[in-house]
Amino acid sequence: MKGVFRNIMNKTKKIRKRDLASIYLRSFFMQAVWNFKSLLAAGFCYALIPAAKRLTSSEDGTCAFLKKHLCFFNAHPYFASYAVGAIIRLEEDLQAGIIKDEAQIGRFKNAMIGALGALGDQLFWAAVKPGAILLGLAGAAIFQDLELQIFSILAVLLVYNIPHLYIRTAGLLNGYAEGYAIVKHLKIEKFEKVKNLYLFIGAVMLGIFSGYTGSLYLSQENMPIFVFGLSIIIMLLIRRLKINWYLSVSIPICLALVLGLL
Amino acid sequence: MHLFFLSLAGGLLVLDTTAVLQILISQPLVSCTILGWMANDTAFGLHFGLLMQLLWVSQLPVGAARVAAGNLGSITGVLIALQLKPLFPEYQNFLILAGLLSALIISYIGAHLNAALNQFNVTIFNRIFNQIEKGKISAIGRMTAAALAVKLALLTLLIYGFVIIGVYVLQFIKSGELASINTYARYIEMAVIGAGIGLTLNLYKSRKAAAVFIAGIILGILIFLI
Repeated sequence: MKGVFRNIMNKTKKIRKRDLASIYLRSFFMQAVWNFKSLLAAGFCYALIPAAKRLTSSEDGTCAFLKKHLCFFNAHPYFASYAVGAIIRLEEDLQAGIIKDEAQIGRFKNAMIGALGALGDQLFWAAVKPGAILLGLAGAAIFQDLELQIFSILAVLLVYNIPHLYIRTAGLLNGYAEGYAIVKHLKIEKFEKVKNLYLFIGAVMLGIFSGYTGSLYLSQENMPIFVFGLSIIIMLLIRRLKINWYLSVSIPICLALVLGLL
Repeated sequence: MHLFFLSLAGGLLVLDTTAVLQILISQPLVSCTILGWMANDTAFGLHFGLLMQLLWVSQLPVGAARVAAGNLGSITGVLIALQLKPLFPEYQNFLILAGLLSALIISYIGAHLNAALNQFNVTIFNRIFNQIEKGKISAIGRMTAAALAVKLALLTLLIYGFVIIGVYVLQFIKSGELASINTYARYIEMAVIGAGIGLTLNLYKSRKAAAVFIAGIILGILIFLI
């Protein structure tokens, strides 16, 4: 990433390091005005403001720049940084006369929507997030000491936010460095190792958590392990039937209360 | 700490779910521990967060899907349980049950509130668009702050209101009935953890993941035995 940053700064570009830093911080508000009409558009424009001000010479020009990007846009919030970086680069090239067709930028932005959404959902929501949380859950369940349990929770934040912040940073810098060519980075194969690592962490931690809590209940009387095991089985069966989430969760709870009456 | 400030802290933590940062501090395991610490009972907050966390971990907030507002529910649930704890310190199962049921109800209401806020944000977006057309660039920043402020205010009021109502209603349960409910709820933790594991297993369906999961179970048993 250092190389990418050096390349960016070596170019005779209008965007400065401090603009990129400001855009980066603003990207954390990407979903602040998430809405059913334009989805991420407002957050996307909010992140673009420092670039818009730098790349245009008048207030009218800045408004025209932002208005152009106030149209439907969707992406995973972290991966949206790739689009932000690439759009800044393309707008800069447009101002410099390297790109002639302005409409091409809009088409490119729309073409990125699917890839940015799918990548983020597969990587973060389905692998990194559960993996990091299950790591913390297993630690909090196994350790008896409160300090160690809190350490497990801090580990969750660390394990999750390393890839999270990396994607935000690399997305912005690589997007800005490469413009159109950023699409070559947006393939799940590029993130396969990280995804598999977190899927492994998640599966093994869920196993450790299940094995440990199961053993704990087994060491008590018969009923706790029975309720525990039955709840797992019921949930596996119910979820296959695609029953409403609230109803599925209520069934083991009701069962526990009924068995508590015995 | 006063309940209002705890509710405000809860509202701020919920903002992390989608609106700002998204660094995972809104997840029940983290948020309930923070609120437990603020209410001088870190251990209970952590324990409650651990129970709630597994229920929501498998919910994927993909696209515009309407999912249960588990983070909001857990935060309200833990605050209700924390407020009730000094009144009924010996009824741990009852406290967990009260917090859990509150969490489920609020998570349902929260899902609808989120949809309403996303609809409200359409108005905010339209205003941004109009202001930009008029040449007011600062409108984006102001409107973004306004959207966040409205969301924070609603979340704080919702948490505060439900905790007040929940504690008010539940404190009138007679001690004899409380003892009975506490006994009936003695298996609630096992059911919640079991249900959570069952739900989360859906994320690890492949044969490879299943093998790793089984290896993890063996490791978990060994850790317990050691």
